[in-house]
Amino acid sequence: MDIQITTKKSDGVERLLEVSVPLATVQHEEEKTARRYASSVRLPGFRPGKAPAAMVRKRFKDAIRQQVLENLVQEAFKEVIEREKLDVAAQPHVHDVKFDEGQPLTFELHLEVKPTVVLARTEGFRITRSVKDVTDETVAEQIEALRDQKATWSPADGQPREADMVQVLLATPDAPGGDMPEGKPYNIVLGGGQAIAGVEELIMELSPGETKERVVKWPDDFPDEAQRGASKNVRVTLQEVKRKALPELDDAFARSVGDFDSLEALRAAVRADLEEHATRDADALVRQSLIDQITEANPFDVPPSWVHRMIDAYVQAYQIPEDQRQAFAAEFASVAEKQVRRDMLIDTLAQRETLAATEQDVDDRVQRVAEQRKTDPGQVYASLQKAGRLPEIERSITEEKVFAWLLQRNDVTNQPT
Amino acid sequence: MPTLHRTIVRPLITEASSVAYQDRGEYHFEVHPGANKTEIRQAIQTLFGVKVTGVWTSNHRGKDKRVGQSVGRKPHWKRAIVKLADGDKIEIFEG
Repeated sequence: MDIQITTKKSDGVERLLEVSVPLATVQHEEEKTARRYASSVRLPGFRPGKAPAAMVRKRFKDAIRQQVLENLVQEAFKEVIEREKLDVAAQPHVHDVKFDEGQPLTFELHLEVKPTVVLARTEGFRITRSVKDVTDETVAEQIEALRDQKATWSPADGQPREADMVQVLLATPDAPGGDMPEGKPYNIVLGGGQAIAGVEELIMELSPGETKERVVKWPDDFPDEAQRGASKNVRVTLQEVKRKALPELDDAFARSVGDFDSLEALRAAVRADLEEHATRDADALVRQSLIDQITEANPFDVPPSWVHRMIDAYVQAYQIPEDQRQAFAAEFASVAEKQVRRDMLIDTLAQRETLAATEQDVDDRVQRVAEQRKTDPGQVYASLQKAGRLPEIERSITEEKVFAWLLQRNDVTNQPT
Repeated sequence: MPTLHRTIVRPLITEASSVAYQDRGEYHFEVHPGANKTEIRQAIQTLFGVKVTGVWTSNHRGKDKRVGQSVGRKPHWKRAIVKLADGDKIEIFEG
């Protein structure tokens, strides 16, 4: 196509081009579009496609012009890319369209090109890897948490203490000095801040079945501003007290948690789990700092549209409501940019060093998963394909390969903590 | 005598009439069945500001139309084929 291209701005990854399509090309395109229209259009008095071209052109003038504009812009865009040898990062924006009859078509193309990432230095960085030690205390904490999960609530006599669960009827008059309404039932764990301090105190003075009425002062930091600092008459009826009973820390407890023969086995499993977590965290940190160092040593431009796309993906993933999107986008812009940088870096390295996951790699991974799950690899493959997770797997294999390559060439020192 | 707009009912723009227009420069109209050639000539000349050189007419029976059991009939109508002096044109036939 015969078009004129003038570059108006070339800044980093952004390009602003002015494109002019000569009148002859516009007219030729109009002719072509009108003919195509005429061959399919249905007008009263004519068989479909048999209406004269002149009549069709007159009747559908606006639609044809619109179509011509779309076609020309699209073709011109293709031509621009070909002629300027641009590697476009995202859909272009078209501004300032001038499309008057009997005049050449002119418009501005606003594009973002893919930046060329030159990674001059990817080797010889120093990273310290520190794996958090798993101490007996952390294991004990974890087991304590398990015990807490397995705790049973059993009814107790006498006045409730802190950490007990009580079932109470609470009532306050709607207006000061008004009638006391029927109490509403609540389940409260004492000492957990679920009820205001005054009410909890009142509950702890009662035995099951008792009722007491007293003026209670609402705290000054109560969430509902209207009620802050107010004093109200409160009637409390204690119905039931339940006390938490933690299971004994013995082999029976270990068996109840899972497939463990003894408490020692459970401890060992928890320790192994925590150690694995610590290793994984340390590895992730190593990768992150490696990426940070490489991007710092090899600066490159990031197309803003990719960052926007990443933010959009976050918005989708976290289901951010419409009215909070802007604040979210502002807050996560730097995170998104970092992620885009990381992806670009990995892509570039994968391409340069031919580390991209091959079909064989994916097959091997599927085979491994199948062995773990003791199923047929074909089935695993089919289900992954159905869930659309194959690209994800491919990506993670590529990343692993790239990091393996990087770690071979960079100095990672283990630092004990 | 009917008014001009009752004499000329509507231009006939169909596949056949546009072929006649393009090949032979004929303009087809539906006209009042009672209108004669002189009236048609005068009406066309006044309405479109052109010079008419020839008028041919033909009568057409209205089609029988059936709705369920009852049979009705579309009205009979008259077609007029008009030729104009060289250089004269009626825009609506231009497409």
